[in-house]
Amino acid sequence: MTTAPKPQRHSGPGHSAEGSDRSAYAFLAPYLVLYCVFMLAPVLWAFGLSLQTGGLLEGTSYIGLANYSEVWSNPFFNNALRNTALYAIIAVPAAMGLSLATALLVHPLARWWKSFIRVSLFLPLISSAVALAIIWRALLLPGQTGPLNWILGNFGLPPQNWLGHPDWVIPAIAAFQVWSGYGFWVIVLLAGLDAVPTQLYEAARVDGAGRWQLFTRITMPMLRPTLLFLSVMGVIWNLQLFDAVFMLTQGGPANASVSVVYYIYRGAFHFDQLGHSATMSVLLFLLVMGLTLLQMRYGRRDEDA
Amino acid sequence: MGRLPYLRMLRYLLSGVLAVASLSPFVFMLLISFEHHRVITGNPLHWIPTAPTLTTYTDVLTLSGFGDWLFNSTFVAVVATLAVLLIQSMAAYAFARKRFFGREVLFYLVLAGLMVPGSMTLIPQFLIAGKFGLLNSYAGLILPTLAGPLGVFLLRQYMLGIPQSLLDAARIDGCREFGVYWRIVLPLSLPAMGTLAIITFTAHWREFLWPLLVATDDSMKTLPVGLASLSSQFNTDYGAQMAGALLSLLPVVVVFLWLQRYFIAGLTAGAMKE
Repeated sequence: MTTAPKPQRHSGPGHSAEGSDRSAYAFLAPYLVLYCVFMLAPVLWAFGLSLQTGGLLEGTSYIGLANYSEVWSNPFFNNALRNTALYAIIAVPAAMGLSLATALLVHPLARWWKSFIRVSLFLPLISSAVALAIIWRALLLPGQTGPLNWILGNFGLPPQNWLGHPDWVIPAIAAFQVWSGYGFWVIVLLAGLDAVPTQLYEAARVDGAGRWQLFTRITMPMLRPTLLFLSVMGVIWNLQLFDAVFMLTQGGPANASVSVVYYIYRGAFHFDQLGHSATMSVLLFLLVMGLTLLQMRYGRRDEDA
Repeated sequence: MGRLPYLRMLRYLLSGVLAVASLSPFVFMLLISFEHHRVITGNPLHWIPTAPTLTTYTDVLTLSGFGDWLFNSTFVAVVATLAVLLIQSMAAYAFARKRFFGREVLFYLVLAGLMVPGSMTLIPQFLIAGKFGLLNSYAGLILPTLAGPLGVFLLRQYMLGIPQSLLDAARIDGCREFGVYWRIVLPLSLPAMGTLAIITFTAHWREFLWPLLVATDDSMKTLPVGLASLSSQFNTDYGAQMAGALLSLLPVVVVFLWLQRYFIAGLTAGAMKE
């Protein structure tokens, strides 16, 4: 008997716009299924695997927390951990210094120039690390006549076996990381500099502040959240270093460039030590989680201030 | 700002040098790519090819599975991006605009996924993909990548800002629940969807480790995995390697130059606070 059109359908009781709403589950279902199968289950399974020893071929057996007590005395794991720490310790401050200098250098310049710089620094960000590593592998060829060595030789610097010498391989891969991620840092810092209100500078200048004071009292404090974000992201990014190691050195020479993720990959898929590798991945997870929580906490504190 | 002009010139000069230094590996790649078995060591180094040829390019295209890899990379990145946009925007809509039992708990559960590094889920995901028979399949390349929560989080934040009056008006005008989402919320979320599309597409285009494990058949490889095997096929032929690397960069560089403003806005979006 109702001939009124559609509106009736949703105006009944119990269907206020913000009432508890079962249709929500229909909207959530596809994502939650994927999340449970490919995120939640793998995380729980990784914890489970870390309590086991063995692999796919020989089968796994429960050994409790033995993996966790064993890793600290395992020289190969300690080596991977040390290498990864070195990658981050070299790459993050280098990227930070270089990108901060670039951003400060470019920021007052003409808009078209800034766009040009942005675009030219952006190329590595959209390229796969594999393609970039193929270029670098050729650039870093050893001997006096390797392309980079030849260029350095013109400045009187001695040739190095960049990827073949244990002392040089970590700085070389860290330099690759800096080069391929540097554009992101600059672009984010330029956006951060744009966000500093110009009134602050004007007011300070009226009060007689010099250029150095403007930098230390206004620019740096205003950039602090951006710098914190970038350094935490940079550390997390470098902790997960894999592509460059796989492409440039396969972990060599003599494990000198093995990163934690490369170690996990090789342990699980070449040596079939699933439990051992899963233990590493759990430890890496705890590290990344700690850093993320730190970042969230301090990021939020800045917003309150 | 009253600056001495030569200081300003110095700024242009220095930043120009940095940009050139950052671009020079690409120039190197381009120059080397025009000659088979290019001798790249030598003193002095000959950067300019003496007998330029395109056979490096045609050889890479015909002697390897390059066409398959290009198709696979494009297909996986496009389908995964569309799927992420659809599935994650639906979830984001529910989290942002609906009240239901368990919302807080579920949201924090999903949010916690942001802290999980890919290397932790790698081994179990591989075992799960194997159990479901997803190895060497598009489903195996795509499905696990849809579970990342970044999009749900980004879109939810954006959808929180849509005025309730618009949703109410749509309901009064007779929109069903799906209609409110499809006709009102999605079109209003287009800027955030664009950002997410670019982040997702770029991430898939670059991804190496997961396809390396899942796609072991040559015909199922994506570009980065194929490229890695190409460099052992053309072991000492740097000309051909560079041609392959360049060909693999070309499509996404073209898209980037076309949509660069959105790329830059997209990749900074996660970094800057509103």
